[in-house]
Amino acid sequence: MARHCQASAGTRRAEGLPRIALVGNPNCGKTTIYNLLTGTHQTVGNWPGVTVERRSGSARLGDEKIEVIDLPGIYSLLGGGGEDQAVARHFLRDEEVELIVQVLDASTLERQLLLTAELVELQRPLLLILNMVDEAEDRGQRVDPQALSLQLGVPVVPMVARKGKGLRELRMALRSALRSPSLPQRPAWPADLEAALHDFAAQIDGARGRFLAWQYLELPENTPQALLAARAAAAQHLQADSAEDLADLLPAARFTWAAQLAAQVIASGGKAGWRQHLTRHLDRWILHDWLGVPIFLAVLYLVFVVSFSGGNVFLDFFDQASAALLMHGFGHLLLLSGAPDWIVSSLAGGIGGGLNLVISFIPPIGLTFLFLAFLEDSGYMARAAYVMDRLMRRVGLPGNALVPMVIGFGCNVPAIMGARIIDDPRGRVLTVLMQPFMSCSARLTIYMAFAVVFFRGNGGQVVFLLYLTGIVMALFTAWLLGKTALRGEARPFVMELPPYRLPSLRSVVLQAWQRLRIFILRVGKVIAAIGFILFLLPGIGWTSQGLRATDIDHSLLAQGSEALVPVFAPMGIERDNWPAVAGLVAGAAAKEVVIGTLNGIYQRQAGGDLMAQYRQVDLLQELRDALATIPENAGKLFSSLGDPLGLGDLANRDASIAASGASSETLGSLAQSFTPLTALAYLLFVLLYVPCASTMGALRREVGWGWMLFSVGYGIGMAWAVATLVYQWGTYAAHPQATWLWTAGIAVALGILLLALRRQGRHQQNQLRFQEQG
Amino acid sequence: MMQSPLFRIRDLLRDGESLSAAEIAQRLDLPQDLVDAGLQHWQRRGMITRVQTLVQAQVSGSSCQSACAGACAACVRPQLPASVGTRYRWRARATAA
Repeated sequence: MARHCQASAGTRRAEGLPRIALVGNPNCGKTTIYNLLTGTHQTVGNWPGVTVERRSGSARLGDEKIEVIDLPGIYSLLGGGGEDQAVARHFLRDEEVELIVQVLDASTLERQLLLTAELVELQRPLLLILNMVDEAEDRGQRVDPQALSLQLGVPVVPMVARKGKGLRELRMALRSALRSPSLPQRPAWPADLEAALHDFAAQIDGARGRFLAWQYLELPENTPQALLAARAAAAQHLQADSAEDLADLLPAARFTWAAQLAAQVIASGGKAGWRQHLTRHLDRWILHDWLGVPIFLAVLYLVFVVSFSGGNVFLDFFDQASAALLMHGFGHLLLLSGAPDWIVSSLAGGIGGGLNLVISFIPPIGLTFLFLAFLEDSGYMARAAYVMDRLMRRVGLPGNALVPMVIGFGCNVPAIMGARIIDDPRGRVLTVLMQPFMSCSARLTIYMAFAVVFFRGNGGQVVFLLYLTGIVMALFTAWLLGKTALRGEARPFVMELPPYRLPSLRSVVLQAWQRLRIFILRVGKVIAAIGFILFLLPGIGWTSQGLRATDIDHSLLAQGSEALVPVFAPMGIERDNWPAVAGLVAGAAAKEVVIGTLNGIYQRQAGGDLMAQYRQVDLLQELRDALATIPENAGKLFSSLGDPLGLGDLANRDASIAASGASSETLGSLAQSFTPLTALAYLLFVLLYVPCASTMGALRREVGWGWMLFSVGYGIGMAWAVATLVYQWGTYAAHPQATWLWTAGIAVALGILLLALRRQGRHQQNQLRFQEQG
Repeated sequence: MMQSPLFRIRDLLRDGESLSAAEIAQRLDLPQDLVDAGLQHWQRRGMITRVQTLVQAQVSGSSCQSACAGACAACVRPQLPASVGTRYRWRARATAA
């Protein structure tokens, strides 16, 4: 068997290893099985479209090593679906693989067998995994794997991959199938179809002749010129006794075969189990026309409020304990070892301070990830996409656009790539352009830092409001572009809804930990590095004698940032608060950098005070104090219920400083530099402006330079406008005229943008018309 | 020989009624996932259009002919998941073509 690099396919084949490919409908559990086989922890989710690219890993079957390919979910080898399905289709049709492993969701076997019908016609070694047999049984269906194996002539392995059941049997079956591969038996198609396929396939060269005959008969547009006559003859033969279109007649044959085969292998008659009852009862409310969206918002609200309130109990402990160990203890050790002050302050203050900041936010962020993983695994997120469908269609988007948006809560980059599940190019561009407004986990650090200082009692609600603002802005963007530059109608979609599953604790904790680990490593690395650099670099600034060493407040960084302050003055940034501007400029590279820069500057500004803390350290007492904050904060857990949104504190700087209990220099400096209102305006700016360089790169790759540049400019403009409006109207009484002037200016700018986008839309439509006429 | 489920779905919708996936599944005694696949096919072919119902009660009440006040099996069964609000209608223009 050929074992060589598949240069044309774009990825190098693992040298000398037998290769198996996991294929199946979306959300049938392929990635779970891939993780089981390879021991990796790729993201899985209880909704279709989690995997959008193929990935490869190695697995051991006893003493034998194999390569496992995980393909995006696919409904048909013949066409349809987004770019993700095209990836799977091309791989299965064109690349060398020793064994195709189709994963079937046993609870929806009839539908899954439609793909089997096509795979069988490929005539390549095949093995079937009958996954989720527990859910099928819960539906009152018992699938007989032996009967299915007998009918198809290929091995069938029953599994509950989510729980790891059947893995041993799968490994054994894979070994056996790789040693003696078996080709599937072709279905007994109706005689006229069989004859037409046979005759037509005989005219096509190559091993895939039979499959190509199917394809050309069903989708004639790709038929090569040389085969047009043979296709016409086959079509004439098939349509001699039928008025049906071949594009319907051939799929109809697969539907018949799937229904008949399922009837032979499924023993029904059992009663529907608790899962079915629960699904039916819950869906009556969760999928309700009018209640569905409010329920979704309520769930999201609860996630953030509970995460923040619950996280608050432990936040001070994490903050104070890590400050004691990483800053004071570490600094003390460095001093004892005779290190000079600048080394102590840059290592303990810069790196230690940065890590302290990241560690402080582990409780609320970890809880958020836990809840989101629970919702994803339970099957709720797929329903969120369903209920949002109507709202999405109003703004000209298909409902499955929500799937990338949900991914965007973690990181915008995979969310942008996730838009590949949308097969309509217009819908895909719109979905991609929405993603930068989704609050990623890097932004969560900034929200948390400000929430701890300014909205300690109601931080969860404020974070929820920011997330909601991001969603609203994303929908507004899609609506605006859908009505102007990207006019058209959303293509409808039928979405499979998975049953509700009680997620396993292991799976939820593992998923949350994966995200938290990435968050800690990525964010921690950046914040610590920036802190170190800002401590290490001597302040250099323009003085009357030219470029000279200065303190940080008179450095080039300060001078450059101060020059930009007037641009941000309408949103409440004052001249003294130049670190806020420096954070925004640096944060264009990555959002983690915003808080990293603030941390570095504030720590350096307070450098003198820090040294005293390193000289006299009572580590045990500090840890004891940190521990004491847990019961104290637990008592305050329900204090925020009386003021759900906590907006009463917006104008009160002193109250917020007192309430924050912020122990670190960074949080303390934040409290001195912002008011709650300017903090809110700043957070809105952070939410809406350029997400990060990686996201911009993903945007350019998916939709091109033009839309990427538009996204950057539009994001900055919107961020500035929203932050300015919030600050201006929040301080209306102090300067009513200025507020009206800024509002009018923003309205005019929005009007100009609208006109420009409409013009662009018309221009594109005219071009399209000319092309069609041409 | 049995008629293909794909054509049975089409024939039912061609009668002119707008139906939800759950109702089609119930009337044709087909699994809903197969009906979803069939609807996806006809949508891709441009033969059916999706309509949203304004009153959710129409979904469960439309097919019950008995005077059971909602307690019989026929009334309980239509209240299946994923049927809420979304219905499908055959496009007359496409039929003529």
